[in-house]
Amino acid sequence: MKIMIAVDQPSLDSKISDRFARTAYFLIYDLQDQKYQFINNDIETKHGAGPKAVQLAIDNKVSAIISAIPGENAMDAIKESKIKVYDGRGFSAKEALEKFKNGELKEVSTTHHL
Amino acid sequence: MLVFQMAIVSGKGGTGKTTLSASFSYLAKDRVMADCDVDAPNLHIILKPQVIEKREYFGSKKAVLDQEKCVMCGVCEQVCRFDAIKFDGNGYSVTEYACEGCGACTIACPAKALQLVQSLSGEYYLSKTDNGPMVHALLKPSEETSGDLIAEVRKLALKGAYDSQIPLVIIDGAPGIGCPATSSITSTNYVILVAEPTMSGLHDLRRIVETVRHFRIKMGVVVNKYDINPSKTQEIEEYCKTEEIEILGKVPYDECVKRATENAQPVILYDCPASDEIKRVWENVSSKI
Repeated sequence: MKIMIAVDQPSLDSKISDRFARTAYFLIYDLQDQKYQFINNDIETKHGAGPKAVQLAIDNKVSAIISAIPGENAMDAIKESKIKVYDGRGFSAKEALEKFKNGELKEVSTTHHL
Repeated sequence: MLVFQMAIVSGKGGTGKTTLSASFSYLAKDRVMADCDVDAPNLHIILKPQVIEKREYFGSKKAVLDQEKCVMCGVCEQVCRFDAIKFDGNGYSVTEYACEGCGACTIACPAKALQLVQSLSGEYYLSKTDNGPMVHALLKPSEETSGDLIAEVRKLALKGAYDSQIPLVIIDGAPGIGCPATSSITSTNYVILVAEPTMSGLHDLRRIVETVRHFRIKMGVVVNKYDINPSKTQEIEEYCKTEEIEILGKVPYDECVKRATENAQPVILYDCPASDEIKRVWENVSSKI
């Protein structure tokens, strides 16, 4: 299972970014073999960042996203995929991964609000 | 160190966001101010920042025509859906304000005379004010990437906070519920909604509440000029009760606010009922940090 995490720096110790689609880097982490890579999120256009980031998740066969709460456009795209979103606000990538494995991260519902 | 980010927004414009922000900027002991209304900023009028660092913001791309290469075929004018390319009798030229940067002309041009080039969309500044740093920006006319510029303003404000070990960023947010507003509030720790007791005030309050809910952020409401329409204020209070949103305070209509604004000063430097209530709201808000 692969997870995509929006991070500020290309490091496992990096803080989870305040933004999902406009984060500086995405960390793609494979829970099976613990291999990971960082993708520089150098978005060219200023529009449609949300759906583009979700497309990146789909292209990388990601099952879960850990980030700050994505915006409405990103959420609409996520809704159409089978990807789940988890609230990673305030954690480092490393901490969030641990919490995810222990089932301690809160899932962000795509269907209803609070 | 953790930095607490607080945003002051409203669905409707002109409800008193900047009035409240300017006062908070004086009441908070240690803060970085971020004016995120980059389309029509005016917090700087009251806080009179001294610019320390100016940064250029390149938000969009625009078509640029190389006159040397142009073969005057006019294909670009035909394909431009925004009527941004015109023939003036001597040659073709691109109207910067009309160009949307779609790139159709660059593909259609047989002479490769048109290119998309990053264009300067605005500027943003790290400044100092009497009681702490301030980040603000200015978007150029006809530019539309304000949400992205706001993201840059907030990044610089947060960096300023970490660099100077200041634990609080106060964001004077953009009005509405669209991109600029969401960019002002995303990943903040607390949102203050300023509402006025009018029909559109309540209508737009409901919309911004939905938006803040989307981002799962705690919020509270300040009713400004609450006494100009007691029945609407009551409606706002009832709405907030149903939605379980705290009313942080109710600021009365006060000629003193007008005087403060005319003198480009924050209200809390004056001794008046509005000032007293804003101070009380601040006490309430600062207990959330």
